[in-house]
Amino acid sequence: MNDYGTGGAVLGAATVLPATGAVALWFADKTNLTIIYGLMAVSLFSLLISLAMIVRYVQNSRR
Amino acid sequence: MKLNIRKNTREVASFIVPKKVSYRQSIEIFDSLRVAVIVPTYKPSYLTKALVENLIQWHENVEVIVVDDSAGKSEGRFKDIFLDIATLSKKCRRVHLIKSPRNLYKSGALNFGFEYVKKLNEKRRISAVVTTDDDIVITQKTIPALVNKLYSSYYIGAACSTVRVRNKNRNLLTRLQGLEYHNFNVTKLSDNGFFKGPLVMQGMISAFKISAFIDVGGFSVENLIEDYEMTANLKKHGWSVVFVPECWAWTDVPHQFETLWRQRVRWTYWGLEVIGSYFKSLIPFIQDVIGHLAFTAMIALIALSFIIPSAISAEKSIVLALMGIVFIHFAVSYLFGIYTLKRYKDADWKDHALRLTMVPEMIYSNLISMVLLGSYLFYGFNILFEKGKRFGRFYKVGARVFSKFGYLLTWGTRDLAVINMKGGENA
Repeated sequence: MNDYGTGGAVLGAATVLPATGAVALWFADKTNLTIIYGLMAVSLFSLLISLAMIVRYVQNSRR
Repeated sequence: MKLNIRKNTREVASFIVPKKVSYRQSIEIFDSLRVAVIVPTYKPSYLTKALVENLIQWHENVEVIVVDDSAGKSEGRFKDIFLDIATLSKKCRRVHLIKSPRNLYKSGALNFGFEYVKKLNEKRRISAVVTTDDDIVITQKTIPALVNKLYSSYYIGAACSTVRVRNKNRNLLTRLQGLEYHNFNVTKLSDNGFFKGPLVMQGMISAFKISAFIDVGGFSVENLIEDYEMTANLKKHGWSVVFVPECWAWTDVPHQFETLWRQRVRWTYWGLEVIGSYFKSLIPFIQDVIGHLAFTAMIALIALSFIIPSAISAEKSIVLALMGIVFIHFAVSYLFGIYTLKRYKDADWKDHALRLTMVPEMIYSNLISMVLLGSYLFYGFNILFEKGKRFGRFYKVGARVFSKFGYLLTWGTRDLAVINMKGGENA
């Protein structure tokens, strides 16, 4: 569960909290559609950030 | 301003294809250089003495500058250790024990040590400065590996080591921090060659070219996480920084939750202060900005979902798509976390079990994220009241409430005295 942050400042923020948030929304009935799209955009952005980090890690590990 | 498209394209591309940070991979320059190691200490331990002894025994080209920052108030075993180091300095002219005029805190003590290095530089040409904590354990290869990497490229201004946790097996909290520090090392390795390099050259042990150190004017005494501030300042001045995975150093982490909380308050709050200080230049902390944006956007949206309900339910397929993205992200992070364990040198079966079961790390991460939420509030509070310069009476009341939760403008893990921000001295 790696993340960006100042030595832990944003630790877990983009991985753990989205999961927690999504579960909360799952139980929250009648959520505004715009908010769901917003959450989708942020989650997708976080996913891309994580994937890019993994790609860089693999490349730097082999150097 | 002339826009260099080729250079900027390469910077953006480093998001997925990191730049090569070293042009001379196998350079062995350490033995031909003179290196100064600054060890600021407030309450030295047997580890401080061992560090000094090892450094002079291992490396003939190293000058060790121990900065006694106790303001002459050390007593008992601390005083004995200072006396031992003083004896050592009489036996070996490469050990220098200097006393700061008052308690300057770490950044002030480092600057005080650096002023001494500059004088030393007139007689013995110093090329690199290594700053360390006083309670770390290193190997004989640590400093040579750092300095060799530092000089592998003209553009590198600082290099830092892999951090390993010495007291990892003490209790569950230290074990979780061991895994967390391993994650920091993984992130740092990923960030080599990404824009100007990893976010922080940690204060525990980092090496600087003396020219880079002079270029940025030393450490800022107005920030309590001097390592992050220094790294941001180096990048702002055009230097790159690098993480050296083959170079190791061990440290002790807090074993009590209260101490950990205060440490993290200091890290998160002063991290926001660094961003505030260098707000106009994004590159020094682009990773942090990305993290903060994602985090705050997520929190805001979750909060809004409860405040602004919809008259109609969202289609199940849209909610499922959101859940799908979250699940993929979670699965990718989980599998990557397991994959990186092969690089975790200190891992035992308990660490593997903790990572595989997920739940302890998840609870820990959420608790640490709570510290960050509080830091946002505390940062906003201090901006609003200009740290007590405006509405002083109300500020005092608010500051008292924040202090109940550990939010203070102080060192946090050292003591609870209020810092005189200009001098760095206890008020």
